[in-house]
Amino acid sequence: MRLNFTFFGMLLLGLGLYQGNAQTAEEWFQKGNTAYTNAAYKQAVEAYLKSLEEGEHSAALYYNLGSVYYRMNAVAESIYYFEKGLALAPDDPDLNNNILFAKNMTVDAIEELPQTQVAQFQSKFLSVLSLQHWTWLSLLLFWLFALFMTGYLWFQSSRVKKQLFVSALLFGTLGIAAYFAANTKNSQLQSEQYGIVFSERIEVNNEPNRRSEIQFTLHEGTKVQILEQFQEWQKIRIANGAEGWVSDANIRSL
Amino acid sequence: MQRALHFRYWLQLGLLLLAAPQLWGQVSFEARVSNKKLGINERLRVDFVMNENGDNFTPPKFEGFRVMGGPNQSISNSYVNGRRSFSKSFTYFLTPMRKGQLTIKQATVDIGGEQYKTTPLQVQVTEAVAMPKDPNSVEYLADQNMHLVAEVSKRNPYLNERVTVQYKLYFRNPIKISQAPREMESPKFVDFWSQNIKIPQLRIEQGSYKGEAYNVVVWRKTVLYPQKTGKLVLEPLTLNVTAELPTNRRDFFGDRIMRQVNRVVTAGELRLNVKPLPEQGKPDDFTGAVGDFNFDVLLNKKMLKASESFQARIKVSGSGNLTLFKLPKLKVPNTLEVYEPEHKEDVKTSLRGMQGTIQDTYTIVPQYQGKYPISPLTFSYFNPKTKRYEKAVSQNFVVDVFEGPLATNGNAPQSTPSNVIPTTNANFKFIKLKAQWQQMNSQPLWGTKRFYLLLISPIFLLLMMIPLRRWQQSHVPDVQSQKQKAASKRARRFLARAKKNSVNKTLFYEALEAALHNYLKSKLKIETTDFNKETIETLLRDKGVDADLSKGFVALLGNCEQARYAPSSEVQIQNDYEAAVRTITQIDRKL
Repeated sequence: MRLNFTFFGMLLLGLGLYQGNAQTAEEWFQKGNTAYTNAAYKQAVEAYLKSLEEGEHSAALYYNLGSVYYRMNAVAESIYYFEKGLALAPDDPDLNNNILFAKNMTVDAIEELPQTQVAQFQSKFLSVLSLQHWTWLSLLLFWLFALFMTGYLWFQSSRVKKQLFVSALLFGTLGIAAYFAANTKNSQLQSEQYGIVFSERIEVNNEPNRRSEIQFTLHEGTKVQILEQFQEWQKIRIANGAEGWVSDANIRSL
Repeated sequence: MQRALHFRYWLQLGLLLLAAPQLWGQVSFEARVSNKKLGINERLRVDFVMNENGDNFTPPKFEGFRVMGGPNQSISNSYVNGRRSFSKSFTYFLTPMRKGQLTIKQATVDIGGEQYKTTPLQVQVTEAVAMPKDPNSVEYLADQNMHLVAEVSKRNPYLNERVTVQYKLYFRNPIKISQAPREMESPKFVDFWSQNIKIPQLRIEQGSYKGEAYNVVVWRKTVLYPQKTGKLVLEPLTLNVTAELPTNRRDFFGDRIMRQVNRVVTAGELRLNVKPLPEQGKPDDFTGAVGDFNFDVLLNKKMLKASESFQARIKVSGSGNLTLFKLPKLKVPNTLEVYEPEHKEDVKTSLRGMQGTIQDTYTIVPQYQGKYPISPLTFSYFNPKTKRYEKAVSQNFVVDVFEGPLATNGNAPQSTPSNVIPTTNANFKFIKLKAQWQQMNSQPLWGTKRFYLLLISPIFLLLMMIPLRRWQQSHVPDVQSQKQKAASKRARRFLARAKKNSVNKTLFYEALEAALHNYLKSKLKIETTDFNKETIETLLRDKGVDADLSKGFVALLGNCEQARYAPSSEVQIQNDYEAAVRTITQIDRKL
């Protein structure tokens, strides 16, 4: 009991010290919100960015940042933070609404490639949980499988054995499914690196050299997929499937 | 003596007359030119000479020439030492009209009933040449006091920089010009954008040429914009001027008689050295504008409803090569519908070059509500005065479109309006006031060593379990269970044997009974010695077996005993066997 008390006291002390030195992310966030309502957008941006420096993030913070930048007519920044927010909360209605306004401001009109039903279902399914959660789920299911298998081996009664075996099989199958889901999600996150074009205008070449033909030009705020890197050139793909190389482009990866 | 002389005279005449047919036989008719090679500003004298009188002289058509004088006919008839020489000539004065090889064709004449022709002559006409000087001639006097000068504003301009050329005719006393000169050769300004500035009426003004007072007439003004770099040549302008010069003769009233002289004056070739625009500091969006410009982008509305239209005007005004470059293109967000621009030029060309305004007017219709930034346009041009590229940047506009449908997601094709959600309260949403915080840089568990350890450890646990279980079974002595197992095995063996002997009644029932006994031994742990129906029933009840089932079992045992002594059918045997199997499996489940 006594030990418990000292621990609690130390915890409080630590918190107090922490708050004395710097403001928490939440406080900066609230400061930004106040600035936003007063239309002091520059201050709001500063406050939100300070909040990010605290090492914690949230979909709401990214949403607010995107909104402030939209108010300031900064296209690329606005889309960048909305996209970051969507990565954390893909189904947030406000985020999905406001990003449309921001996308309205971009110059490029890119028609997205249609997705197959299977691909749509897959991406929907994978986005239910984050990678971390998929990982934990697969581990939990494997442990349950092992536990039930142990029970199956231990118990004598054929009735109990049967129930345990069926459950173990079920958990095992689900565990494998979760493992593969996590694996796919991980490879997706690894390979599909996206970025937002911050340069006002970039030219996309056919090959990674200056002599090659210019295929198309992109403008501020367009989302691109970064495929590979060669010297100072980056290979990118845009939503309609067109690919090309860019150099010296200011593309901030999400 | 007198008679002798007379006689000699007549004799000589007679001899001459006798010889005459031989001499007269040599009829010649030829064309002579004063010069085989001449400049375009020089004159050519052509003589058609015959040594016998002829009729029907037909001159050739002097193609490529203008006949300035002639035909002047002259006949000379002379006797030298009693010898007559005759010559008749037709003289023409010609000026060439073009450069190159010109031909004077054949002239014909009839002499003594026969037609004679001259041979055609080739004359080479070259560029205008400086006039040969002859201080006594009227021509020389005219040339000395009359000059055609081309004045160029700049000898080495930049590409697309304005250059003006003025052709001025200087003349002074005693020359008077009463007729307007004729232009014989006009320069063609290849490699230039050129425009002549109209001079409504030629006016004589006072001016000076090489420090001396002259009358001056501006004949022609041209504005040029070079379109090519390097050494460019302007062809000379040649004028045919009819000048009036006083002669020494005086008329009846004592005034000097004026004489008209046709003179060809030319302003020599002009060479321009056109410099390319400097590469250093050349902006990427440079489209070739050279001059001094103002650049502006104007919108007529900044707030409007969706489906209304607004106009954006891109305007360049100032002086320079206004019509020779492209205006920058308007850049707007993709959701705005932009129509092809209307191009308007309001440019006047004077000696100071092109001046005025060019503009593109775009009509834009927003489809959805929202804010649309019109990104600033840059227009860069080269200013030849400062010799530097200059950049004009337009303002940044944001067009606010209120009221109207909200844009759909990029996935939906925008051409189909059915996809547009016509919600009235779809607006830019307010910020969120509550946040759920997460660790930002949390390392993913996936793929780490810890993850694989956690993944594999349950399987190890499972594998550990199997030997543990085996060890436990072998080290805990359990005689009873072994006995049971043996009995169970035996029961199954007897049952199998009973099935095999289902034809032989006695053997079948013996085997069945043995099987049932063995089964009971293994399950109920009773010895064969204390087998009776009561104990079996109580034991089975104790184990939780239904009364029906235990009764069935006991009945089966009874059947076996009875069947040894009583006859029974094939069907009976089959039924008993099936009942035994069923009962055993049912009891097995309960125990």
